[in-house]
Amino acid sequence: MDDPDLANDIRYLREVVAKTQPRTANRYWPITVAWGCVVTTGYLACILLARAGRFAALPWVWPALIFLVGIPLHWYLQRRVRMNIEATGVRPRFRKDLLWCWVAITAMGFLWTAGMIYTNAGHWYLISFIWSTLYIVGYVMNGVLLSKEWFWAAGTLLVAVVAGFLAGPDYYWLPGLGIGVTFLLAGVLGRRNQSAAA
Amino acid sequence: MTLELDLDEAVLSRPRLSILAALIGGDAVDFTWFQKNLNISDGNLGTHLRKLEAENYIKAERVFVGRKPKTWFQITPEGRAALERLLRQLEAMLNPAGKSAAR
Repeated sequence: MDDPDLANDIRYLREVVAKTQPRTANRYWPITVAWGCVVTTGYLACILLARAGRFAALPWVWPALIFLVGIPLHWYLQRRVRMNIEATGVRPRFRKDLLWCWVAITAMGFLWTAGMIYTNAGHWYLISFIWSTLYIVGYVMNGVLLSKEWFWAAGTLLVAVVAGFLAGPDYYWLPGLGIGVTFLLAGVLGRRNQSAAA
Repeated sequence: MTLELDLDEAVLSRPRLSILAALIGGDAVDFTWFQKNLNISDGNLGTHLRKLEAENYIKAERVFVGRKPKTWFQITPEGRAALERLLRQLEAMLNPAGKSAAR
């Protein structure tokens, strides 16, 4: 090394590495909050439509919200957050691991849902239980790969699933609503963690 | 006693080592970030970046943001391997018996 003082060099390198190591905070928390709003709104819309007896509209709620609101909003917020990060001189790498994790979870959810619809093999609430348990796995993976606040979201959703199951059929809506609420929780905690890390 | 060292000279310099260390996380970093954080003069920084690029240890991607040119630097698999190899060699030098230095 050019500098004879090895301890100084090591300290200097540690500082350099610390500045560019993957952060423990989720800088994309606005996207998490946005999906929390979309999913919670979708679930509440389904409940209100079902109560009003407008069952024909139910199959359109999720495709409309996901494709017309969720995905465009995701794209817009991702672009904004990415531009803000790039303005600091760092361009975050593309997280293929996270992408494949969520592609796998969504594919499994759709396969289960399609299977249940085509075979008429269960009550509607099973779908919300299936999606909730799949999302718990996704949240845990986010906790491992991205930031720790996802463990809180996973724990809260697990509590919602168990509580809904134990409380009986009147509360079987709880896990489904829990998905959106835990997305919001993860987003809010992500914002707090990012502020603390900044 | 002679000590034979087969250390990679392209990595074994404080500026180049710090450039690779900054990129090891996987994110791309631009020239301005290096200027602000590595405390190396502009001319030297350019020389060290070109040297690492010539060794294929980093890759440069030149883009335009609006009308301004911007260059992103990212570590390559070869650069990562070179840094890891150097660290292993240094560790072996400091701890020839292979005992853990961790306390």
